[in-house]
Amino acid sequence: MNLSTNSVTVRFGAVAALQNVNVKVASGERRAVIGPNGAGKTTLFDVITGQRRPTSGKVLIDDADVTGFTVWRRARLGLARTFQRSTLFANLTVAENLAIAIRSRLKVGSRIWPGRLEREVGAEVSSRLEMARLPALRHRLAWRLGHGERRIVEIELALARDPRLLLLDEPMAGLSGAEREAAVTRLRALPEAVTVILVEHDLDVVFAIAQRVSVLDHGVLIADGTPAEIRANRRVQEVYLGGAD
Amino acid sequence: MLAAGLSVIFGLMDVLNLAHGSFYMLGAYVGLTVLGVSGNFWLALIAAPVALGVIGALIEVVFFRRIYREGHLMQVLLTFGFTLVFVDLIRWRFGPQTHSLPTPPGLEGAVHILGVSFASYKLFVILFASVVALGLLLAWRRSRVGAILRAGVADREMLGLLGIDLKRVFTGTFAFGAALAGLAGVVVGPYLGVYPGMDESILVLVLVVVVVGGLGSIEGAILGSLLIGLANAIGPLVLGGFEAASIFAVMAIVLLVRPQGLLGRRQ
Repeated sequence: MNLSTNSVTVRFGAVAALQNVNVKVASGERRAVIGPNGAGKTTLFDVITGQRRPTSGKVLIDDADVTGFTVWRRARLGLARTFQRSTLFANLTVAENLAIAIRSRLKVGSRIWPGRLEREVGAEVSSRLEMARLPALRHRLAWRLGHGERRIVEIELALARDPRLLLLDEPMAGLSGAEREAAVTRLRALPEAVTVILVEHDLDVVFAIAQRVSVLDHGVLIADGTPAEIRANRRVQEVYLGGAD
Repeated sequence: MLAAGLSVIFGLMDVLNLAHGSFYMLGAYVGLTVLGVSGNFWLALIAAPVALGVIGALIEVVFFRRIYREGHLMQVLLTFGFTLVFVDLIRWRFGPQTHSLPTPPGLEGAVHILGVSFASYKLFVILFASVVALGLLLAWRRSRVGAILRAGVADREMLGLLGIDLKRVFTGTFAFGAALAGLAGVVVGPYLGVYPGMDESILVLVLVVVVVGGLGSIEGAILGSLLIGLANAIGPLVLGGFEAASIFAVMAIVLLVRPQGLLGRRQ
């Protein structure tokens, strides 16, 4: 699934969170978006998912204009995302969380007698927990999970939609070294057809996963290129690599 | 039954629906009308929730959908407006007097248990409400739709991102809540009577139940109803003529100890 933003601008009153941002992500590409805090990375995600309408500009998915689409309509096209904040349904178990995403994908909800499909849902919940190396947590309520476990279940929840475009907002924040390695391995094992856009502060993770990197600063796209080009870019070094981060 | 609908509507959709009492009143009048035409109580018991489900769905699609983003003040104004319109419509059509729903045949008498006599119909109401409560609880905890609603109460934005059509979920929830309220209106008709203003008297009670039980939780609504029902029954015996004070005292105590309600969601 390819994605592009056409001169997307988002204003909050007098402040421009994004200014004329043009990003083109090819199908199957692994793209990282980096930039200091407040650069507009999360706002860009909100615009792509439809959680925020841009003040001006367009969002295209597979070359079709989706700017007017609702969040769930875009989700049904194959878009999934994670957040910096925890977004598991706190009062549901890990298995119930995953099952909601899987059922929505399999359209179980519209079946009157879902017997066979429900067994498929159960089996897929098990296999996903295996892949995430968390099978023991199946019946744990989400709010009882540890921070690292929660982040990994969140990624698995996004993957359970079988997305064609996956947006990950700082998935590694707060993970231990070992958890980080496991998560990187999991993400590198995604099918090649899946397009991934990743916001991440940990540049080791960014350079381990991304094929191309876009750099935002104060809502402006200041660079776009391969990891090597970005590392060599003087302006990026000034605002980001050499900066407070 | 009323509290369950109001609680889930508030928890999921973040809408304070003051017209919930009106649905209860309309249900009673639909029951009255159907009973007048057909003479069959059980038919009325089925017709009222069906009619109210349709009315609820229409109101959600035509009015509520436009004001979800407008905040609670707009919602209170709109739903309060609805209560006034509905009560006037009822007065205009049925007059201000109290009608009584006849007790269904077979349930007019009394039953003696351990030397105490109970009106059969009241026992039926208790049984009926318990069955409905149990059914709701099972659906809430075990069904696919229940899981979606519980998830929506926790984070509805995320539900949309998982590809679930929130508009349909909202309309369905609202219609189901209205249907439950309508059903309750018919069930209590035979012993509380049917009159314009029955909506207000129940609404206050239901709001207290929802606040005590905790928003967005069926378990909370059931527990809250039992507690407030007990307070309402025991209060007058202990305090003498202060039954209103007793339920608000319970609410105040619960709010002091657990501001989110007994089984309210974690923030």
